[in-house]
Amino acid sequence: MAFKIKQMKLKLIQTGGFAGKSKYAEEDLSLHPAQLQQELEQHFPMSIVQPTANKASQSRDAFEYFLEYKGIRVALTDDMKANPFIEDLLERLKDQLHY
Amino acid sequence: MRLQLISAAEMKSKLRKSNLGGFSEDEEIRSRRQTYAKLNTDEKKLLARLQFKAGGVKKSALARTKVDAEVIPKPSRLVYSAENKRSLPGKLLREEGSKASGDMDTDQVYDSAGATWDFYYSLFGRNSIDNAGMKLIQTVHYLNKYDNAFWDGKQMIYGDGDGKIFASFTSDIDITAHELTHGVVQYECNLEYKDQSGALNESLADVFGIMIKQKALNHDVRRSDWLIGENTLVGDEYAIRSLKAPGTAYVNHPELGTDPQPAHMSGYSNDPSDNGGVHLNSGIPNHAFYLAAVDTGGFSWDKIGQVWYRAMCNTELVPVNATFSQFKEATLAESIILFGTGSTVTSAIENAWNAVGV
Repeated sequence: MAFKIKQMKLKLIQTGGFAGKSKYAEEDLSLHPAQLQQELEQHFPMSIVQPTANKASQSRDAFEYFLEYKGIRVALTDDMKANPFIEDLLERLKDQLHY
Repeated sequence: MRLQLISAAEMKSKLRKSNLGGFSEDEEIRSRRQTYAKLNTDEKKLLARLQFKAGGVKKSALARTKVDAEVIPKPSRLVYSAENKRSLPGKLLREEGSKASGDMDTDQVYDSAGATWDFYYSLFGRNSIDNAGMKLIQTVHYLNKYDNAFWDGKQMIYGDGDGKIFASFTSDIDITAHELTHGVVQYECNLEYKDQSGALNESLADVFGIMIKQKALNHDVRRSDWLIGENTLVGDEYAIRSLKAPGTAYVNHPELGTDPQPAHMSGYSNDPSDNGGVHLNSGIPNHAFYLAAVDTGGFSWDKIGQVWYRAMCNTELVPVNATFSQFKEATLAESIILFGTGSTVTSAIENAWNAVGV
């Protein structure tokens, strides 16, 4: 059954770095197959959570990446990066983050 | 088989000859470390002081001491290239004692790391990041047009910059010194990288970064520009941060806008996207250091730098989740020990923290 996909944007946010400037790139998911949204939703909680830094990490000034979808922001995880439906989209969004 | 007694020096020489590449260097450094570790605190300080007066780590400095020349620690620098890929550490381009590689970024960070090591050793008797002779591993040319430099917990990594907004992140000695200092903090008070303790972590990296630049240029507090990253952010009128005037390092930049750093607690903000604003709120303790140093005069590392270093290493007064107030108290306590309660230095430090609202 065909149905119209509501316009929904996925935002990749880059934070931190030596200069401490945040940047983001976004993609309109209505231009992609519906399965992409279904895959994404698996990685997002149902309620808003505050992203937290990895306490164990000793990285300093490294970029950190977050995904924002339907108003919920989560840290980008290896699981997401390994998902074949999301992988290419993430790479394309990361490319847009370069000046 | 016949046993033969040989001296330690002969053994060292034999080891050098019997091993290849970096391993012989490792043996030498390990031996120096072991001997250095046996010195007591006063002997280490004396050694460092004599070498500092002699202009760095020179054997001639030992003419005035009875300490064996083999005791002198020395840096162990390794610079690699990621060849614009993600692999770390990458391809070795230069190691300790080798001649210039011809690659500008490699040679720049080799020299900057040397100046940083020398600063910590000659002023504080500190032998590298961990105070135990840790190798200074750096990788340049990381990824393609990468706009960042960072410390990953084990080594420093530098991008080439995009060439339009940011030049290579190897361009400023203060950036290399900043990243190395993150390593020093990791081995001392190990401040958590969030909220006020994270901003203190960033501030200590900037404070020691600027002092190492000042020392390299022989600039006193009046002559210094107090800017971090002025060669890295493209454009003569721009730098990445200012300790003298946080919030003014760049103004109306076409891509970055205006420097958002506050200089006072009234401007403190909790930016959840940057671990509670670690790169923003560092402007407050940065400015306190600037005010104290300028009020005291002379070279920043002579007095205020000594106080800040001792506070950074004081894990009783500076816990991993330290607040600005706790760090203030640590600097005051250390200043009282070094200079006395009513001294001009202690007063300058107290006035500086008060002036930034801490």
